[in-house]
Amino acid sequence: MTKIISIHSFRGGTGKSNLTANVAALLSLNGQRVGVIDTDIQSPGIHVLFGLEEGKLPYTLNDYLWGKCDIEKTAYDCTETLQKELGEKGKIEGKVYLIPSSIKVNEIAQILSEGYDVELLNQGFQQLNKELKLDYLLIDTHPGLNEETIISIGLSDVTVIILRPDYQDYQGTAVTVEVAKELDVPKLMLVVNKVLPDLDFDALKENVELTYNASVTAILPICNEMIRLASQGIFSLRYPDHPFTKELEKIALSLQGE
Amino acid sequence: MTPDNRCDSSTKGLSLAGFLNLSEKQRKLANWMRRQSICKLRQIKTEMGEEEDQIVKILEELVQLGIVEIAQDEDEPSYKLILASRRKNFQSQQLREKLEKKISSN
Repeated sequence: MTKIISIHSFRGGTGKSNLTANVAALLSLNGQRVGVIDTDIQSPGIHVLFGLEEGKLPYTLNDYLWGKCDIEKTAYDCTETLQKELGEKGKIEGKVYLIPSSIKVNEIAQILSEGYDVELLNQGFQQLNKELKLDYLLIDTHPGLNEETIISIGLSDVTVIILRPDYQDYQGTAVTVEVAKELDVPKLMLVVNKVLPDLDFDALKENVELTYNASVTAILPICNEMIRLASQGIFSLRYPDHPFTKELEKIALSLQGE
Repeated sequence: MTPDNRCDSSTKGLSLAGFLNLSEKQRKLANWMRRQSICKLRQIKTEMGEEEDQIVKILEELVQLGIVEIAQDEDEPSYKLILASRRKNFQSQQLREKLEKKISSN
């Protein structure tokens, strides 16, 4: 049975897509079949990390939601690209499929202006899990709360909420955690990202856990190499021995253990 | 029924705002039904651990709100929770119209 994992943050720029792509890559390295769906239809971006270009996407999630194609047509096998990124450093035993949203400006505007059937998105998730025989479906979401939240959090087995050590994030995260609890998500995980290395990580973890009454799976420091990579690849594959990758591996292992 | 929960044909289905306005019992049932495809009354009864007439009452409330649909399957009715469509955004519509004008004029 496919495990559905939704990745949320209340505010933008927390590193949600980077975390999603890296966790997907690490799960596939562990032999898992992973789907990544970009439900951030108004500001899609995760395709960049997987090296997918606009011209190479005959179908996107938008086409499926408009009834132009089956959801399977919108799934792109990115395993080969990831293997190239990893090189001789290892072998990806699993699979990674990306379901991107359209990056064409008129198509983004069209789906925002016309709306769509959220139930169709729900059916699409189930269809993808079945047809691609997925072990995991990762849902990359738009920041904040919206109509998709009810299915992204509401249908997931695990919801990962990512935040920065910033008071705007703290307040927004409280709202997201509250909604996740109301939606009865079976497992809630918090990840604190972009933390200054001189902060006391243990104290921060304790504080966050106490505030939200939810477990912190990882505290990720600001990482210069990650910033330099600038979303032009999957960090954990390019730098498999980097301490930051070791933290990402903890998250992937924690998800596998659930 | 609170005013925020009222549904017309354009707001049919469970939205996030609608969900947050449900009573505790309605919410519990909606949370469980959301993860099922179609449910029979006896399955709901087992899950909720409530008397049948109490469950039927909650289901009727959810049907009235446009969140649950009933399908008569053989002798036993089945229930399905439906999700609200993402609503039209008229500001986006204006933006789109402007974009299309700009694209066609180029």
